[in-house]
Amino acid sequence: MEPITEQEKNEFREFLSVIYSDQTKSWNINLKVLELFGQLIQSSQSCSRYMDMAPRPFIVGNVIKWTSKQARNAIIRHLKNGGKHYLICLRAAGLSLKTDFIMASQGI
Amino acid sequence: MIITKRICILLALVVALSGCQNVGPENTNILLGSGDRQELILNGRVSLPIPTRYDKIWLSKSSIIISQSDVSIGYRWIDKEEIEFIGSIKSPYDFFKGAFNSPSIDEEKRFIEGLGNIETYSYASANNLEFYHFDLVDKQKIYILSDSLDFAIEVTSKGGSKKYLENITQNSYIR
Repeated sequence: MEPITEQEKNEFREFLSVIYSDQTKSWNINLKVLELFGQLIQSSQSCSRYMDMAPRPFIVGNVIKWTSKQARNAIIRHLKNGGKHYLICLRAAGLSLKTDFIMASQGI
Repeated sequence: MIITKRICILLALVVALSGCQNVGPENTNILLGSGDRQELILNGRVSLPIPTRYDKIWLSKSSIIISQSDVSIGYRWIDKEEIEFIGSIKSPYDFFKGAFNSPSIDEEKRFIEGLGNIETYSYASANNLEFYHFDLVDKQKIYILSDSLDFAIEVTSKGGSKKYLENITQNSYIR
């Protein structure tokens, strides 16, 4: 696995703050959190009208290749490029995953 | 208000970690321990049984996680502000009731979508509380509602026993 850089962590924390508000500032962004983010993206079919879930080359089966820096950065670029409405749409779907994110950020 | 709640919860943890002493009825937002029955009291209103054994407790703004080895139970309370944040003007009770019974607005539909694959689902009511229990792929969730509460409770169990979840359904109550 290519280590998640501080810049990447800050970018994902920023995306998650759109979905979960400022509480995410204290979240530790790790692989478990990114996998959960992928699960949220992929469970929310009804939000896909705002944008495609993630660039195709970085999805194997149904799983995003979060261990790859190239994949992470492609998703960051993808979401920064007009993903705000998409992330807002994810708020309702994300409601049931908030506890899971809190657990994941603690490595649970 | 939030600060008061946090102080009360912190007090709860101090009591819990110092051996789960009994406390008087004047202390309403705290964790009570008495032998083999321990209670987590959320917002001074709802009492839930907690596992009798645990070695770590995590506290955050609106949740408590209690864990022991590979078992983790997360307790989270969801208020109207959080429901408004996701885009619904309903009360927490009406939002979840609508989502679980006949989702009609987009936010309710998306919330159900976000639960992912539901393996089994059941409903129960006891002590003026309604329990919506979901068996999901890697965890179980119980949503606890009452029309007399201005918040809902979500219990997330990872690795927890079925018996403990039944205990929640049977022995939670409004204070």
